[in-house]
Amino acid sequence: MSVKGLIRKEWKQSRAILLMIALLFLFHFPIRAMVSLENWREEIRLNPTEAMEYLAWSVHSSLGMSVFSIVILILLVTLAVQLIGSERSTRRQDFAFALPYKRRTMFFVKWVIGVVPTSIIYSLTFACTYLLVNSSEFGFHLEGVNIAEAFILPLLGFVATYSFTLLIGTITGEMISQIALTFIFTIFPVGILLLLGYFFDINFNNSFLLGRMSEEAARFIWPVYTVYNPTSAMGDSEFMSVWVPGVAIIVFLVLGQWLYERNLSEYNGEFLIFKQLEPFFRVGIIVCFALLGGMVGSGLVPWSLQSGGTLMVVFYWVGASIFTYLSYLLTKRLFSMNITIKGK
Amino acid sequence: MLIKGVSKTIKQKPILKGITFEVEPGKVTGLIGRNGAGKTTLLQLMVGIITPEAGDIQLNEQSIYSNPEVKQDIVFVPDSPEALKSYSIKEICQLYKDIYPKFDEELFYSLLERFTLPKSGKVGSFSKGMKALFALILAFSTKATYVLLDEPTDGLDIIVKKRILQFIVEAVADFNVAVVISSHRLDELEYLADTIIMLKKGEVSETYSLDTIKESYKKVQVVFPHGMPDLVKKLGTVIGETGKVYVLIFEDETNLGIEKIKDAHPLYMEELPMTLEDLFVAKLGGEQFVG
Repeated sequence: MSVKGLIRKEWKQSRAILLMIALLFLFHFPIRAMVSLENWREEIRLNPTEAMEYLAWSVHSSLGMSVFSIVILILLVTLAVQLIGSERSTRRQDFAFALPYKRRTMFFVKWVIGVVPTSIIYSLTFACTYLLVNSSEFGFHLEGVNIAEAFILPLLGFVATYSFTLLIGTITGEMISQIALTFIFTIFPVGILLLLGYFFDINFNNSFLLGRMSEEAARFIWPVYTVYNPTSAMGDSEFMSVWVPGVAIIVFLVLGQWLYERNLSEYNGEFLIFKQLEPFFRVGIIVCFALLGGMVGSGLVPWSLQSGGTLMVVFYWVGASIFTYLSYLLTKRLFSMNITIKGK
Repeated sequence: MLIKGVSKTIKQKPILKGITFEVEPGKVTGLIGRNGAGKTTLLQLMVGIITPEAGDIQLNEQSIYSNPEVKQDIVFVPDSPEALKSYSIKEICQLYKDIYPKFDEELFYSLLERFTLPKSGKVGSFSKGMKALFALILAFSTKATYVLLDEPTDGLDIIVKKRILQFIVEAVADFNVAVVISSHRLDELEYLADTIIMLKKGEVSETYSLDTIKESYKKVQVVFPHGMPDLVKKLGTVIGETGKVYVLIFEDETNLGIEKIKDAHPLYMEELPMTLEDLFVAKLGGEQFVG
């Protein structure tokens, strides 16, 4: 069966955000590069010796991140929330699920509607920038830069973040929980190591979890790939591999389709769609908050009293206890809420 | 369309238990039951918005869950059509043409004209009555064989209500569609429906053909000087009592019940016209509070 109707429906919901993303990519790549070219010429004219010192880095950066990358990431998350979380909150999903399409097809169209336009506009604007810079008098600075890597890693970062937000949308019941869990699980790999590392450090004077393991965990933070810069430490190809976000995108897409097909829309508006996940989330939220509370609590001990560590341990557990209680109240409220926006 | 042993549990509470019935084209089926009986849940199951724990819904022997393509022949009109409010009429028409291959654009615009609805602009700017009418026009323009309506006249004024009911009657006759209506407005269902399915505590309590209700059931007003005899009380349900005057409903195809009442020597006995509302109260009014 033709998916033209589905594409039309999703396009209607997403075109405004996609237009903003397209405009931001124009600013992120070609417009920024054009402005940079003028700036470099001006800097060489005014202060040639000093300019030559950082010009190579500056030229490389024209293919790397900018503040626009962050805004584009936020818009991609918003788009995924618009396509799943917002549909659930406003009962538009009832209309969608009543249509004569397989749910896995619906999920796939939602993925395509975000990924294809983003990839096309990214590729075009990146190519424009590369041609602009390479054909200028500063083009020689790009020699030795791995252009393929500079092109593919941020793109994979954008697509992985979008796919990840869609995946989170298949387990959450409304848009606020989709946004919250996307944020929490994005930083989770490093966040949990940090919290556990601090726990062991304070209580057992052992911080083996920090350091190299945190760096390893950072590979699973998808937005990190979008801030790739050919000259920065993040550009170290040992740290960033196309395989991690590449495989993640496929896993998110397949798992998302599988979960979306099994979605229990009777729980739309609630924190989670799959009730069997609730015990894990309850325990997980309370444990994480307790660890965070311990960190905050021990941080309140004045510097002069930190030596010895006993007071640190006491404050750690006081903070952990308070946060445990507060998070218990929070989870009670969280799992009983129902946010559904009903029209007239 | 075959609803085959469908069961649904929400939050560990069984909402529907083993529901089985068939919907035939060219007929109007009314779903009635008290609040919380599972009417909307059943309609949502019939169109695949939610999925059952047990049982299946089949169209031409194909499950709507494993072959959702067959839903090209099923259209659901919810009680508040939220999904399309940001669309213009033209966009909706295009969207429905893409989704439902049998969508009749000419019919759609002619119905809009007939019911003096605007042919352009956004649906979000319509009044509640206009939205309800528009949703019905859209549903019937798909030329789907099955149209499911959830409280189609809820909250509408009497003029709009009459237009909608008239439209449904005409559409069923003209397009030979099967309409399933969930409604609390029993007077409307009495006017529209061929068959009534009564849901009680998540189960099909009874299925009636409206033609036979009046023949099978009797409603009588009787007066007994010393209260109603137990023998008469056991015949059916007392739906009204004022002093010594009782209103009684009972199943009585062979007039045996009437004879039994006569044998009890009432001071006065009169047979009253039977309505769907009487049947509803008799069958479902046993509990004071809603489920």
